[in-house]
Amino acid sequence: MSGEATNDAVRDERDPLENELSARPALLDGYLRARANAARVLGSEHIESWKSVSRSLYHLNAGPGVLEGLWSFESRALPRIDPATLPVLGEAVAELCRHAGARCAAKAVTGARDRVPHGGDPSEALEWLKLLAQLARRAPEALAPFLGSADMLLSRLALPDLAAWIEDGLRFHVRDRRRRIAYFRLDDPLAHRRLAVHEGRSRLSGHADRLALFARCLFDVELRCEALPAGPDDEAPLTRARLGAGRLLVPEGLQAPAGHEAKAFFEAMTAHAAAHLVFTRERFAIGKLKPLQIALTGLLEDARVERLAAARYPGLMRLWLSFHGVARPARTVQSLFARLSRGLLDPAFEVADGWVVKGRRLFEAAFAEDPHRQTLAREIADILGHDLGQMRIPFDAKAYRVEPSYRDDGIGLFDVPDDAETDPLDLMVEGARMTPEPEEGGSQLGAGEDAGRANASQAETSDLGAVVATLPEWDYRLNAEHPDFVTIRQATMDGGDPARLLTALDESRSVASRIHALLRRARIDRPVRLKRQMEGEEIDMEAVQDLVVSRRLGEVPDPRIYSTKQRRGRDLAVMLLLDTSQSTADPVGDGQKTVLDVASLAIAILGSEMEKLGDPFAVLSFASNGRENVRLGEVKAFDEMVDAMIPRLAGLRPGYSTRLGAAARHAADGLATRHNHRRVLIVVSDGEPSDVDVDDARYLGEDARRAVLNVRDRGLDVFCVALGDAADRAAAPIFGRRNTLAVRRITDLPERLAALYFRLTVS
Amino acid sequence: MSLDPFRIADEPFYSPVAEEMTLFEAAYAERLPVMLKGPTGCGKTRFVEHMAWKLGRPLVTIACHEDMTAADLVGRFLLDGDATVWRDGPMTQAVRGGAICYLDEIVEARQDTTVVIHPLTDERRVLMLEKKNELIPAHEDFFLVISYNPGYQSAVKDLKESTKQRFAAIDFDYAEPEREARIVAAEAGIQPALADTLVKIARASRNLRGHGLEEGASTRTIIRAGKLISRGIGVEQACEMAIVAPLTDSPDTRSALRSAVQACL
Repeated sequence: MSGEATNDAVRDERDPLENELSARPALLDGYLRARANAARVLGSEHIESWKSVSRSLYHLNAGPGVLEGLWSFESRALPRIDPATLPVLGEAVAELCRHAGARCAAKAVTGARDRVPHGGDPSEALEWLKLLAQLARRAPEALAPFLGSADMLLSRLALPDLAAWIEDGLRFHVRDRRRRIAYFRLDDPLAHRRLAVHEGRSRLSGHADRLALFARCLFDVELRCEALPAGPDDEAPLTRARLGAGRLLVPEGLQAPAGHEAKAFFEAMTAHAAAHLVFTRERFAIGKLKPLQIALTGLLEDARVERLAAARYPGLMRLWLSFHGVARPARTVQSLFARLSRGLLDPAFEVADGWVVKGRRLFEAAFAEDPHRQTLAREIADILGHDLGQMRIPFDAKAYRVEPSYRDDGIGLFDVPDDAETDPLDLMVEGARMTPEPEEGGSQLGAGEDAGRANASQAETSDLGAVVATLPEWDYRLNAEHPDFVTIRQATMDGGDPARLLTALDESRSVASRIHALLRRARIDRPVRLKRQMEGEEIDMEAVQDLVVSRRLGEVPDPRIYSTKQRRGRDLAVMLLLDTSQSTADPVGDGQKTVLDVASLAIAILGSEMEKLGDPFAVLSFASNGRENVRLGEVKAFDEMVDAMIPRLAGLRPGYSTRLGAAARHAADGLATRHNHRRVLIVVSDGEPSDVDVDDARYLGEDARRAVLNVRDRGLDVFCVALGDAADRAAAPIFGRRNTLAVRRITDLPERLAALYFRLTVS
Repeated sequence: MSLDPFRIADEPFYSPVAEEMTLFEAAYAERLPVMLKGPTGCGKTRFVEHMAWKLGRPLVTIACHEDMTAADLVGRFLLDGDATVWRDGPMTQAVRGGAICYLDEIVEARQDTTVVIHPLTDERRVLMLEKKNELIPAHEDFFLVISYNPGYQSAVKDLKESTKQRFAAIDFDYAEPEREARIVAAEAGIQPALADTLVKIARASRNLRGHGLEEGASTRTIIRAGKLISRGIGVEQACEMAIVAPLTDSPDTRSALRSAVQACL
């Protein structure tokens, strides 16, 4: 607070708060000064509103920390604050006090104050306070840890993105207070992943396919954009994209703009790189060039290719120019380069500086003469570089960054010799050392924990079974997939004693024969037009002619005058996915058999019948023990005989949990490789997804539902045979009621299968 | 049965690419059946219409589809009261009346259907009406043209070798930019500068052939975009409606096309 405010501190007996504060002289002093300041800035019409804010906060027992914080916030913000927002400010602070306590609120307010420069625009700080108030209302305990990481977060995210990041945290850990705190303290790896997503770094992966198409579309070039993760001991991480061999490596350190601007930014970057691929015919020899010359050559070549590209696609110039700011005129390399860059692109851009004017004149003359002569950039760079030297403007090669940031770093334009280290320009070229291939999927493994997991999984194969796949998992709370989240392992198949199963199979022979009759009737193949039918959707014209002719000849006419489309023959492949989780150990019916016993028998019957019909089928069993260990066992492969399956079926033992979504995704991957007309995935389960590492009852069910939808999108049919007394109630929401078949007793199975096959036949 | 409804009165606009008119006229003079090959919407149908007009022959166009039977081509008996009446199919009409018969997208038709044209395409020049037990010698002016889009080629849909080799082929492709722009400007009634832009957009989209698109935007597509623009629709919207949305449903491809449209403006 400035000392002069004290002089204005006039006492006012009519102010109730002043009277109340009379017992606390220190606070009163601050209040009087703040009031005087507010009165001076706001004028008499808004001072009452100001007073009521302070008064209500005081009555809320806000404490001196909050009040003084607020007053000092106001002393900075008031000159430019909209008086109408004063109540909003008051309400935000009150909210903070109410939910998070006075100490936290004071910290929040002083933090917000520090974000306002004296006399600067307070609107962003106000938004920040509102955001904090909202967080305090929804998760009071999260505020303190959040304030601790606020500086880092604010340096990386714009406010709307930060709000989205907070929303993610609140939605992800709805009930778990402890994990919520960890999220906002940034101890939770998920917090970092969501941060990266909102920051736009990993957003490149969401853009990459589109950008490749964009480059192909404009210039018919192959350009792949890849995220380049910063190495752990990368002392000087790249700050600009690097172009080389049809690839654009986009370093994570590149500050891409947030939100919707990221789309335009990545497009500008891609279009620029594609323009180089098309118009920079050969690389410049690096020879004995000085860093300054290299930088200038790059700048001029950038301008040349952009001008050429824009001659073909005028819209690109608009796109690129939107990233060229207005540099303040100064005799620095940064300012001169920025103005030259823009001047070369934008004819309407006015510059007075002699150096820029000269650069522009030389470039325009050479460009007009022959825009495809690439050496013009080198020649003009020599002249301009020499002039800069004459002007005694220092060039700091180490600090130099290509601007605007959508442009690549220019190193890709030069032929860098192998012995680059010995070159005096190693500072510029230092970044040119070829970065090793980014790890497969490395860009997705954001946090250290994930990287550790990937390594660990390779080391532990012997204990848990070989890793056969890593799959994503759907998180309904985030409305997004966690990439590579679930590890699928191969379960070892120990053969059991088949005697009991064979006996059971023998006993249910009548059931089997009924199934056999049903299956044979099911005809599954492409439709064929059948003529001369007794009934059908269309009239067979030729048959009608014959009928009329026969009648007139007095013959007995053939009444088959319809044509129809029918499916004939069989062309289907079936994958059975059998749940062997602990819940399948429950007894069914009279208690003699478990769910798994019933399921094994059902599969044995169906399998033998399908083999007789020649329909290819495979059987997988699954159980899970956390997302790192989803075990799938191959009970029968497509090319194996049923006999091989029986002992393995008999050897199945219930255990672990049901991570249904992951199992369905993996089974579908195997089935999708089949070339049959119809591919059917049948899940035999008690239909209650659960796992040891998930406490949200909805989570795995939603994931399974999503997985089933995805599998259907791939053109596979998915059905569930729900085993047990109430299993269909759990399975129906996942598979849909029409696609769920409840089987309570073994004698129900033929009827249920009939329903299933009837649907396959008529649809 | 008169073929007058099949005559083309006004000259259909056609801007020749190369020698195709001379080639077609030579083939017509020798009555060599012609196959027009080229991507969709590049002007094959328009070319046939133009040539029919130029040669003063009626043009019978048959769009082939996979449920088409031989009877649909050559004709069938129909009931008329108690009597049955033979009704010529479009192909038979063309054969009798001496028209140019144009089978559009012949690969769409079933292979057993296309076999009926075989006797018409060699020295015999006859059409066999099996049902009627009649052999029709072709009118001396009868001429057979088929179109064939090589982009469709697949194991299921391709011409039989025996069918292919009965035809002389003329290759078509999209016109070079300047000429395509002239065509678009003339057909859509828009300014040449705008036509240039539309052609640029179409050419950009054709770069995606085989990379997300089966086919790029055809000349026909951008003429439609041009017509929408001349109706007062904004360029971006017209391109969205006539080009981007019909071509693909993939979000990435759509987004790339949209950005390309913007880059062309």
